Amino acid sequence: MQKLCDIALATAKTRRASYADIRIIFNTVQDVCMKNARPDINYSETNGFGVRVIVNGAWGFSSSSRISPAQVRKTTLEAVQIARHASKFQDKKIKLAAEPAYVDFWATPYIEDPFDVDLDEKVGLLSEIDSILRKNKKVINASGNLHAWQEHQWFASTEGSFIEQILTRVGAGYSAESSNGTIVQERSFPCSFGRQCVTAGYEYIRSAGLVENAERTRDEAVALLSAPVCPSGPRDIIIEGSQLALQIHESCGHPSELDRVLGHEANYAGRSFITPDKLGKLKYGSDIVNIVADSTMPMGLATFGYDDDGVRAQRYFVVEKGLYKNYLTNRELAGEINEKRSRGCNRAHGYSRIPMIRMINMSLLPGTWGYDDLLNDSDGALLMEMNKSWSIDQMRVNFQFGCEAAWELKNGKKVKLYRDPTYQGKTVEFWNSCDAICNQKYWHPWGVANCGKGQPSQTAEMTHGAAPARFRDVEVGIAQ
Amino acid sequence: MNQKKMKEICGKILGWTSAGAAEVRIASYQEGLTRFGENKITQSVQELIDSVSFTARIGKRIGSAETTSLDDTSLKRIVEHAETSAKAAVPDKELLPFVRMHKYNTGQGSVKRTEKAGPDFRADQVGKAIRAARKKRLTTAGVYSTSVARIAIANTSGLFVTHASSNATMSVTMMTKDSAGWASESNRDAAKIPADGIISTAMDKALMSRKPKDIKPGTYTVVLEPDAVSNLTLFLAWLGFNGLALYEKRSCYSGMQGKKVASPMVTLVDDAFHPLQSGMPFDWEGMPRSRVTLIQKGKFTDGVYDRGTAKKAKKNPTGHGLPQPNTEGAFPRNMVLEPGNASLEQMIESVDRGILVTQFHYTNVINPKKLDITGMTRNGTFLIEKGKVKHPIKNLRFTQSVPQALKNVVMVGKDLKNASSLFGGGFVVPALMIKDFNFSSGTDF
Repeated sequence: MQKLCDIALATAKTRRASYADIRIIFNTVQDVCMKNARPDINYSETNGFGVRVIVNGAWGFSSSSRISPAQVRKTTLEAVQIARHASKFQDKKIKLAAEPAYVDFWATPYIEDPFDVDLDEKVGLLSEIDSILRKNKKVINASGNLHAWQEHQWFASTEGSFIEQILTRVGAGYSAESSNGTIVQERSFPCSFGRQCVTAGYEYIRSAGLVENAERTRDEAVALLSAPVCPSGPRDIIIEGSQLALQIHESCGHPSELDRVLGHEANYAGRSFITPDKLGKLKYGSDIVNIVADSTMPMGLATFGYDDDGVRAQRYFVVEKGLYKNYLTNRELAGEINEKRSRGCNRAHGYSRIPMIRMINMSLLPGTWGYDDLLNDSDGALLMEMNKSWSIDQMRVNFQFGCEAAWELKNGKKVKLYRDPTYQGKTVEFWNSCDAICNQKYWHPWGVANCGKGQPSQTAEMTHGAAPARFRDVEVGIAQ
Repeated sequence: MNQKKMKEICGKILGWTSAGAAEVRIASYQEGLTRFGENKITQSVQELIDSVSFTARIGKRIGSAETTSLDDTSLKRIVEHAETSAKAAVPDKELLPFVRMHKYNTGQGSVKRTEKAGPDFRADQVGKAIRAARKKRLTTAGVYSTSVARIAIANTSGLFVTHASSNATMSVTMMTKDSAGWASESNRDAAKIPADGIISTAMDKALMSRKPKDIKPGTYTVVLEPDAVSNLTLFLAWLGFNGLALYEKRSCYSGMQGKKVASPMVTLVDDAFHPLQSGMPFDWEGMPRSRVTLIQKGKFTDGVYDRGTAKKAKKNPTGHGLPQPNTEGAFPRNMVLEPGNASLEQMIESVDRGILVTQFHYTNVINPKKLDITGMTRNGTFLIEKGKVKHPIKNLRFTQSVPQALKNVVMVGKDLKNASSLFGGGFVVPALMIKDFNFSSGTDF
């Protein structure tokens, strides 16, 4: 791989690139899925390389799945040509924030290689879950999946970095879709939209309680069919961890991406209400709200040694005691807000896309409340569980979320089940209404594996750690 | 990758396998994209991806594998992985034999001008937007992309089909301090993308949207431009017309075949061969793709069916299936909402008090069975009073049942456009005027 990297960098230099880097990626995925006892097993290898150059102060990028010395040379020349055309409209040459060069190897830890586990065992596990979920005839669809993913990456730059990384992750999940002919409902475990993912080995899947929770998941899916629709109006709500993870993602993560703030995403996913004048001044949330960006956290989907700029992983406050402190940045844009160093958030989807600012892991730090104490203190509040739908405006202010289920609380107990619960609000008001967060015991890292951004579109994955938290006086239900 | 190379790879792989039946799918995809923001080119990229997928069947067991590497070692590896997966799978009684060759209509094909459009061409087009923005002291962002895709499917039943398609898209946002306007066009032929028209439309909307006023959420008559209408058709495609959802009674149209479900002005079809579409003439199993009438003058006809669901539901397959083992059903990929007679201006003139919507943003489904969806307006939202656009308004969140919206259609536009939404696109739709459209809340801008 070093040889291929050297070809790219030397070719770029001879064409007067002021900077160049190459990422060579070998990505392996195994998905074992089952729906209504029908298996779907797929293995994939996605290998290729992408070359970035700065010529005449502008970026050019080209990529190919055809890995050979000749193709590396050809693709690098294409990147140079692309940069030359792009530079016609540069009003300011790209200047990268300084970062030392690294020669290093880094890997996410795991105990049991998920690719070494027998397929028979994986199929057997899904079959067992499937038969539990479909014991009740009102469950019309039972879907389960097990996921193994590994990315082997080589990064080299004209600044002297040569970094090899191996990232390994696993995922697992299932859902029961129920119907009585007129109403359709769904319950999932451990979270919705397919699966919970972490950077770990198969040992995580063994400890996830998949079989143990199948009966409850099935029974709740069926119970929802006869539950009333969640009532509308202002209510106190407690949001459990996996739903709160998506709340963090949409209302704090995305508006913190500096490229969005500066308008680079304006044509697609949108911009941000957190304009640079608000940095260090905006009271984003209540005093107990602390949100940390962290690409070093164990089991995080955006945990790595170095980002796709070759910047070392970091941990820092985005929101500290409610005050908005820091954006997510990369080497190209850090200087736009007078920061001397990138915060290590440049990431690309595979080899074929150009790196851009993406969320790294962002977590709400745990608070002080015990879970039972919080429920006891929240008579009449609604406990909202597991995301079902999400929507937010292009500046990240007005949002609406739907959940799989909600329970009304009384005397610390879940007394009434509601279906189709939704809640909506405006970001700053909402986070300032947070007055209780559960403690470390109830904090869990929740993976989001399908975050979309960019043109051409890219998918990224990250983890949001969260414990259940209470928000006061939130608008619940659909206003129709 | 050309057709000859695709046939050669298919032949090699099918020759190596020891599985009783097998299928190969090849996709060769090339895209160039120039992206701009802050009045400069921010990214200019190009990618080339070759992907080979192989499915092995051993009796009633099935397994798949894919790779982006075309060397024999890598291709043999996916054969081995697929066969190993098939051996580990439990038998699937619903599997059907692989499809044989049929007669196929000719698809729209790829356009050479788009294939040849390179980074210099894209930079020139983008340059027009940047220069126009700088001249008017606006800020612009957007993209110009060109892509070419070639697909091949072959199997041990003798199938070998190929299809090529091209696409060019220009999308431009223009911004002032407190407003934004947007316009976008897509076409198979890059020469037919009207860059100047897109730029001036985005600019006009941005300038007209300055100093937006507050408006109370509530129920309004709306005039939706095509890019807003595409959000309604997106969820109809995913959830309404899927034959499996219809059969399992998960669709809002389950059991409604032959019944009135929309205004008589609404006729909705799936037509891969429409001049503004560029769909494949076959589905992912190799079945010929049919033109399917989904809603005819307000009456629901039926959805689209893959072979597996068609068998269960005792219907004919329509050529909209996915590769086996397909557990998701079938989806219309080339929907066309038939045009009416009204111009956009005529629609606006017909509104006593209502809202003109350029685009919806981040639309998502709240209730899949009822097809209740929510989203935000964006990039040009205006109050209409007594037949005239009165002033711009701040953006609103809508929460609306799609079937109810189709029932409330009172005018249909005469001009069609290939329009997209955030989560998917390629819908050929006109503008629509709809009464009693529900806006549930507002935002600050």
